Amino acid sequence: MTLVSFALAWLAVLVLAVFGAVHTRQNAGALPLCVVCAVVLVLCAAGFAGLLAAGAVLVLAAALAAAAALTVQAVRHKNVFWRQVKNQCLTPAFGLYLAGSLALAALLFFQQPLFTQWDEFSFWGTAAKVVKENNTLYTLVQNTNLAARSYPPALAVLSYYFQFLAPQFTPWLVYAAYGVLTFAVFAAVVDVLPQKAAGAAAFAGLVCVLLPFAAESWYSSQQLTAYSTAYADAMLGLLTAGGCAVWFGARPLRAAEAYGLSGKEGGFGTAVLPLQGRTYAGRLAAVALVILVLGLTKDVGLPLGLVVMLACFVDYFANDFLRGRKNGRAVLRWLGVGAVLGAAAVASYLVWALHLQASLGQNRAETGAASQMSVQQMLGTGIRELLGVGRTEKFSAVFSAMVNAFFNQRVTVFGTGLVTVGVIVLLLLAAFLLEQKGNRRRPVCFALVSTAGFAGYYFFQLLCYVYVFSEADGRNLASYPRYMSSYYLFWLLGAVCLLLLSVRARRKAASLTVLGVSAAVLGLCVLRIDATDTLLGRSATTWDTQTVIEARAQQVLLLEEKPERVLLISQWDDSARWYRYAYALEPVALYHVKGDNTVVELQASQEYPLRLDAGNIGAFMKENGCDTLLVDVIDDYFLNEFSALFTDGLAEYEAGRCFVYRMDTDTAGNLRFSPCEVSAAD
Amino acid sequence: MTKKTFARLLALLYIGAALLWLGLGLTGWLSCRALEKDGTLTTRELSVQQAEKVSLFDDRTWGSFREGSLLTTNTDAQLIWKIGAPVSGLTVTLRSSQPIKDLELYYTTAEGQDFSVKNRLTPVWSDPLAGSYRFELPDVPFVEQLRLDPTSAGGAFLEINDITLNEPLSPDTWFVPDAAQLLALLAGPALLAWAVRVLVLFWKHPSKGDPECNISM
Repeated sequence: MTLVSFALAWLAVLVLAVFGAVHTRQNAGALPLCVVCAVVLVLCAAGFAGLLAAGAVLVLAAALAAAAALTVQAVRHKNVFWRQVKNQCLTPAFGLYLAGSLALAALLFFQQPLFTQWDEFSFWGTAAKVVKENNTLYTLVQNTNLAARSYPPALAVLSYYFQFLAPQFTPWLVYAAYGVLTFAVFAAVVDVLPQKAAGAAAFAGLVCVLLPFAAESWYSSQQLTAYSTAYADAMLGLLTAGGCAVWFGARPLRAAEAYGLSGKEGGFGTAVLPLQGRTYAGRLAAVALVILVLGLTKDVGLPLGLVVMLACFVDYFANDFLRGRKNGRAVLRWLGVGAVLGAAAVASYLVWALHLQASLGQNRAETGAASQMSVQQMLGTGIRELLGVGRTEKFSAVFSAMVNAFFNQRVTVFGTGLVTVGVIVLLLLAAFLLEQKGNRRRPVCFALVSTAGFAGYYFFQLLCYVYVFSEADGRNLASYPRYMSSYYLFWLLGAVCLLLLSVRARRKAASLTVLGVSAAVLGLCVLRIDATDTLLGRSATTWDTQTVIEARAQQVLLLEEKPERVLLISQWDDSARWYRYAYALEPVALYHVKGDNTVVELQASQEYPLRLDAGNIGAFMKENGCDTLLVDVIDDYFLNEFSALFTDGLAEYEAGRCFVYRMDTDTAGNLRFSPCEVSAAD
Repeated sequence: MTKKTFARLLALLYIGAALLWLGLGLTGWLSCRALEKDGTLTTRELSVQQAEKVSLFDDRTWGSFREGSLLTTNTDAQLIWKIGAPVSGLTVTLRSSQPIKDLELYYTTAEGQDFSVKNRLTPVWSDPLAGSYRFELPDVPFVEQLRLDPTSAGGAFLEINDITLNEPLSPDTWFVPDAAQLLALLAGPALLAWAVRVLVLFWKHPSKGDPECNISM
């Protein structure tokens, strides 16, 4: 059923993309991205109204209706229909989407990966699980271990859509859902190529597939998570590049002969608007969809959405406005691009802000930072400090560390930020030189806007480190390469997209350049990345920790009387295992005994300054309505202090048979913990 | 290059890749069978006591032997065996109070050689609930020394037993490609064919125009 769920959701996207292609007379390459974004937005809207499942049903019903309509049209206009479908859908870009998304899903199905990274348990993976198990957005769920519920929901609902019909939450479907979006972006990038440039498309596809690895390769001995992470960073970069690619890829349609039809046949599709106007409105709507999803993916999606908006706005001015008649209507159309795309970026922010206010009573403008600043205050103070007015020692230190990191810290497979920017400049230079003279404004505009965007994004990260992060994390630039990888991935893909555009002008020279670029990227990846560190060659032990944790958590979940709260004993844990158990036990609340025997609770994010010993553990558990103990990792202290309380002396635990103990009292009224009878999992 | 030539080139490259894969697999499988037949490659048990050296990273933690097992809470215990024979794999059972972390097998192929990441293996199969792990060396190299690094999980109670050398490998090991190999086999010939096509077209018609407008490059 898990596979069926994915297959039906994937087929629905396919049908809607083909339907869209036929009815807009566009190549199908960019349509999977538009369809996936539209699906996410429909589900978000339904989720805000508390009707998430209805949203998924609506999408599947729409796909069914589209399939029926296509069938009727295929029967009525047999020859024209199939020729048009063949010409619009049998393109390298659409082929890349179909083959890539299916191959990745097949690989994930056979590997059955589990979550492994910290924030997959603290938010991204757990959020997807909460949404699936409750059939509602996590903001509307009362009883959950998910602490940070103010993060936007786009990726969680995307995962939900692909496992809507699955009987239970399945982690690999989260990665497969992200994979569908990833290959939809790649298809939009490759779609800028002429339809017949299959060779260039093959190498462009290769570069696209490798770039997420390249943009993530910041630390040679670390496992690369490209294509197997629930984090949003790569998705942000991909969506930003996808928005630009949709804009660059749209071209004025030349009537029916563009699809291999004679003038009389006319082609299929409803000509509601004049052709040129439809292209304008169509690409504007498509980019607006992507910007909306960007804003609902993560908070940093808003500035990235503004970068897309600016790139399209400037590009329209340089390439469409300046070339056409400069009358009032043209000015309005140009300003309309900025207004519509800007409104999409602002709307994505406001909609989530309103939902947060209504559901959780939270103000989105508050950063939730140690500095207690609102976003506006953070921006104002940050700009003043940047200009040297009242600059604090912390700002100077973090600023200096950020500048230093750009020159010295390796962020991509190419090297430091400076080297990566150099590679991007080379790609844009190649795009500029290979492009026809009349079209050279486009790479120049993109270079200027993306550089300004990079400065803005870098400044935004600086503000986060100074005002949002904790003191230690801010000064140490915690996860700097990961946060920057979003922008570098966008920038690299955007530059590749412009290089591919030049193939339209000089097919052979540009194809040769694409071949050279793909060979260079492939060579660098092979030399610098060990396949065993990637999804392709992952060790059999990669998911062992989570397998063991879920098996132990299952002993709790299969108890006849499922407890509402559990006290977890995991000595000397740095909270990593605590988050893993919180995810596995969701929604069973979790108290945690740390190595120093202080107790913390996850659901209320409370820390109890209580030190547990054999004398007070019973009272603590009774006070907090908790009678179940999950023994995960113990040490000598625990053995010496507590083992006498266990009826089996912890023998069942040491034999690896039982990890769950129930608290009760013996006939003399003494506290004791007895091993629970363990049921076999289904 | 015409479409027909391109199709022939593509077919040729796919057949070549398949033959190369089968040839390499067959060579590996036959050489392993030959080693098994002449008795060079035999299945045998290794015990912890047989280890030439047991290195404990931190002296403050303890390690002791009991009934052929090593019991330790050391964060970086290493067990080194002198082998001096071809090795096709190693199976080990580990029981630990914490999940095994960073389980790795290193080997050297000549006397005096240092252990290095070049000759490092991670398990190809594991059953974490039963504590069973299997390493495979399908090339069956001559191994001078083997080093097992059982875990880097600090403070874990660890019991190592049932170490088996050279359990027979299934023919799948040589003939069924893993994900990376499958991807290379599927995408490699197509990309190579297109690369040849782009180069040939550029070589034959380096000018700006495209003389073969019906050719998809």
